[in-house]
Amino acid sequence: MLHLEPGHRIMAEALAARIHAPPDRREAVDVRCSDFGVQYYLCVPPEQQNVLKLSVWVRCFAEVVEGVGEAFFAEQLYPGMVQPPEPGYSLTLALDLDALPPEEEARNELVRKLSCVGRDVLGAPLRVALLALLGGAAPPRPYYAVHHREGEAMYVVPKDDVVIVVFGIAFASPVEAAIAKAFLHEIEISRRQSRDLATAPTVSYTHEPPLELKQLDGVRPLQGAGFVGHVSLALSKRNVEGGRLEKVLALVVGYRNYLMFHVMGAKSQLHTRIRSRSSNWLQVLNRAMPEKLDKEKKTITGRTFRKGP
Amino acid sequence: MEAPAVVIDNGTGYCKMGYAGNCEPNFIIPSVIATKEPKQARKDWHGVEDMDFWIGDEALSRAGEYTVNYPIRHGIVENWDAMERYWQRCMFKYLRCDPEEHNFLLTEPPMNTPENRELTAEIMFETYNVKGLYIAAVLALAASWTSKQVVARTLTGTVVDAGDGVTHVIPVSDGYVIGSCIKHIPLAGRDITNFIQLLMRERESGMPARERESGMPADEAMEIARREQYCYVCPDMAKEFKKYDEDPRRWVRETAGNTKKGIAWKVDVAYERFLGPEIFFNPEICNPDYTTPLPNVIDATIQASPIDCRRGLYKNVVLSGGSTMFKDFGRRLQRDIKRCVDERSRKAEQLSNGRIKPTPTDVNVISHHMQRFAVWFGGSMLASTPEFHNVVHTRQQYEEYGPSICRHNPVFSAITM
Repeated sequence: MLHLEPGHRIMAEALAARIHAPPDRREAVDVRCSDFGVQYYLCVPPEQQNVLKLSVWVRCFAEVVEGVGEAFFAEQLYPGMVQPPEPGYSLTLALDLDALPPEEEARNELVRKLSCVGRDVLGAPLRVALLALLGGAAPPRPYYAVHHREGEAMYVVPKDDVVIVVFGIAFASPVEAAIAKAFLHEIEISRRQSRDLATAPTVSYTHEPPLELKQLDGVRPLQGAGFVGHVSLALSKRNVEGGRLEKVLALVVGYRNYLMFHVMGAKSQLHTRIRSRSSNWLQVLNRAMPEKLDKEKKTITGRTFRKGP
Repeated sequence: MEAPAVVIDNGTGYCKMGYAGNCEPNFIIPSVIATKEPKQARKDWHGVEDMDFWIGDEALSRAGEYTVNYPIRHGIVENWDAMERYWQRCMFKYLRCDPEEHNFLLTEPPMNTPENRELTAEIMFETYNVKGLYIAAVLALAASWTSKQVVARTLTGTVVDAGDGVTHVIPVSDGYVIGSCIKHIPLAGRDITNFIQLLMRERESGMPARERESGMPADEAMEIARREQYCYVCPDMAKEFKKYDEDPRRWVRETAGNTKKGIAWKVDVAYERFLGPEIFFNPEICNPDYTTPLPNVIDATIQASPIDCRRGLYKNVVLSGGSTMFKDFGRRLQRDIKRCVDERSRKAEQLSNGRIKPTPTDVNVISHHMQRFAVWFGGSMLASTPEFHNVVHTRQQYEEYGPSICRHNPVFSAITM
């Protein structure tokens, strides 16, 4: 209800249908969809029905690759699947449907993994940083920047015992910017005051870039119309341990979308209230219409009353 | 890379949505929303009570706990609060699009009011900041261009749209709906289902009882599947009865299944196979109040239209909607309309004592593969043409002129080439 799923339903359904289909009942397919700015294209060509190709386009792919290295996708994340990208796309994964693992569970896992490609590409720097944190290794780079939207960015700053993720957030419409500001203040305060959230990552919301960013060279401060501020999350080892890496990735990378989802929800709620209020006022106005005094009133039998002289 | 347009067809029963460029909708979900009546006054809310609602199948499965309602009645949006939230979930949960980056193409029923278009535009631009919006009307005609029978891409024709609740006959001339001539027939998919069930219940003892506690359960979907799998349209009812009686084994189909409680059942489907769709052609067999056959309604609709477009309307009768998917439906319809038309010209000839010889009228009923989601598919096709960018109303225009820009949505001109 409140959360957005990590993967894309359209992709998951289309992939599951191909991956679980027996070899003699394969069908060609051609599905395009979009996942909060990431574009997917799934294709099984009719002349070669055992090859499934999944292409994605990500706005800041060059930046991500520069950060994590070419080999990261080809060797670590999608071993043996990366192909030269299709024209217009950033990354193409190919899957030989004849050489799939026979177990149901492994196939489901594959569907899950491939339906989250968008998240995994945008979250690659964060994944590298968190893996280094879990393994106790030194931070691989001073920082990674991911400009996932126009005028906005996500910075991943790995430290020795903590990974700091800073979002620069902007909303084009002033109403949305105001709601988002209220939201982010509320998040910061709730995190500090609520006892249930004691183990959650620390959150801070500032207009100015936080210190972690200021210390770095080469980070251009985000400014411009509708800029709302910086949100930084400090992820410690405790947050990621115990197989929670995937969940943390999904939540952190999807944070901006989640925020947008709730801002839009808040607007819907405001509109509902505006509508009900205005219809109430209309009722009041209609009721307040002055009665016509000069009209002659009649009783049911047709007689008229006449008020005294 | 340019984001594909989002096409949403909000029907009375089902909502079809997906990205333009795909050949079928990515999601088809019931147009249902399940909300909770807030127990306390709004000022006592603590969290996100306003986000506590579900749509589609997820709403139906929570019918006990939430209040379920259909925001669209007879194709027209009735509850705008519910609709706004419905769209919110469509965009964020189902399609996962960032509305600021996509153009939206919404469909509207025939005879939609300009005020409704304005309200739609207000929600789309004010709440969701969409990049562009286009509200389209005659998409079924565009979808028919995929058919091999179509020689020229034209936007003149008669659309026969038989969905679940009601059947419309809509004459369209050059992309403009001739509103005064639209006719509605109170017969559609749901009536076929009910009629078949009635017939079978009378004959078969093993029919499972209707399971209809929660709106539209799964057995309804199964019913629809069975309807389309077994039913077909016959050329002549009397002959068909004879055929069945002579050799029942060749024609009777057996069908079986399990009820929701897991009890197995098995029945024979016999005359129902052709009697179901026959209600379009002989409505008196199921409904004593309504007796005009569909071909006559189409003929009357075209006869009521302006005289200069009648030939075009006869030439291009396009089927749309799931209830037109029966085998040979188009062929029978074409034959029956042709009969009406020929009868009229014969009479004209007779009355004038042979002085007038009317040129024979072409009657063409066009069936195609995309009939079931014809409206959505037409939208997907139009939204992926470059022309779409010229007609879509952009956010800048909205901010400049306000919601009134969406009152009128220009018909594409270049696509008819």
